[in-house]
Amino acid sequence: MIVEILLAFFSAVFINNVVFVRYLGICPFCGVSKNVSSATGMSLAVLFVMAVSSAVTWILYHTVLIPLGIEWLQTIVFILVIATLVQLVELFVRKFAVSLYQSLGIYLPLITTNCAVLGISILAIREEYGFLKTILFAVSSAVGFMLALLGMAGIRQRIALTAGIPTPFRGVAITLVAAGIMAIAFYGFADIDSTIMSLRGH
Amino acid sequence: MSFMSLGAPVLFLTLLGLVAAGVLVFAARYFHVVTDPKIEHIAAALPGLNCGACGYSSCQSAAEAVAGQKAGAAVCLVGGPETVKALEEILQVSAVSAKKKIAFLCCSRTPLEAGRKMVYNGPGDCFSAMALFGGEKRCEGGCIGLGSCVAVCPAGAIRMKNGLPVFDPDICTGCGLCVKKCPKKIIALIHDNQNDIDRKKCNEYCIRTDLSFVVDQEHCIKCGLCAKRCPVEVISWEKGSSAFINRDRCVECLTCIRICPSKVIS
Repeated sequence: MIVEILLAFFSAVFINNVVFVRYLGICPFCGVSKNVSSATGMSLAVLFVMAVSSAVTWILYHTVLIPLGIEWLQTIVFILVIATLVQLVELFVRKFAVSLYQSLGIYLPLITTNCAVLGISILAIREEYGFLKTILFAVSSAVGFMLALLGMAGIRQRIALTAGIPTPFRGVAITLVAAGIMAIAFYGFADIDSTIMSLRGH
Repeated sequence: MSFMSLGAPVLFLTLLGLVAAGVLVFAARYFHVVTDPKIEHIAAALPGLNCGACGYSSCQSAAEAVAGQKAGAAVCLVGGPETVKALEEILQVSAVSAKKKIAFLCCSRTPLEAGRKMVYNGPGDCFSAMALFGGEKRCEGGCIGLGSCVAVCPAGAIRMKNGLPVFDPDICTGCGLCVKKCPKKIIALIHDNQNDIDRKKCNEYCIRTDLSFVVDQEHCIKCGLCAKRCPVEVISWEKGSSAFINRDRCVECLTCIRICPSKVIS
């Protein structure tokens, strides 16, 4: 059981990293990775929202959409629910957890329409995960997002101090090159989970 | 598709939208936080681009910082003089602008006087130089002199003279951006009334006048580290005796004070 939980966590963080393998959440990955402190705020907000929204959408899907037979509405319903939820959470946090509000700051409303948040909710439904596994999947995917974002922010802080970059490569171009190299590095983890599962005799 | 099979989803979505809107209206009313009205005024005066050039994540958080007196009227680099003026008008009621502070450099040693320990040939900003052994000057607390403060100053109050930044007290708005930017942390905000005590206090690293080095002979462990590390070799030391600092050729880099393991040099 513990091995399976660890494997699911490891899989979502490294093997199926939400940014480098699933290509979700590229916009904040490029936009908020200029320095480590804002990257930390962003990824904490994503962690928070992903966990809450995947739980709520799972409940909604299994208690309303399936009984009514309107599963095909999931995209629009999920977007509506996530957007409302984020606004609600922001108001709530602002009132009752001021320090959390200050550390999440602008990043909380920014991820209202983050495709990674919607993507993880839909993926959890498609993979037919149970409720707890959905939350585990969402949290570990968010940790993977955090890993990617913080790594990228660290690299970009160094790049900003590097002198020898040719002019045409400066800015966005070198960022995308660095992202590509990071993505290749993450492919080193590919298929580790299925290998472990087959070794354990599943 | 029959009308009924279309009607249920439409009804459901309408209902969901209404519930969501109702929840948000309810939440906005009951979770409402009373904020300083000044924040709204300041936020309105800012450009609203959320560019982040000021170091805050949004114009709103910059406005909160200004209202909380954590930032000055010159917080916005993009808005230019007009925004600074508008903010100063809003802040007039408070005591912020009454006590004007200006930036002051706590280093008066030109590159020639300070001496070089190497030739730095990298990118022309203080941070890159700082990353390589703390810059090319011998003096560890000294100004690197590559003008990162000049580049960051929104008011254009800083210019380089003899390799050191010179602050124009008339133009300086006391925003403190250069203080934050300086990698050596040798720029301080002082009161603009020619108060010498303030300036001396600011010179934590390097006071050129009335500075004397005292070695506490009783507690000196006689390791000789200071003599070995002194860049101009003015500290005499022999095995078994405590150090003596010859002040004649001392460049006041304070390296000895910083490296002394038993902290007996003051």
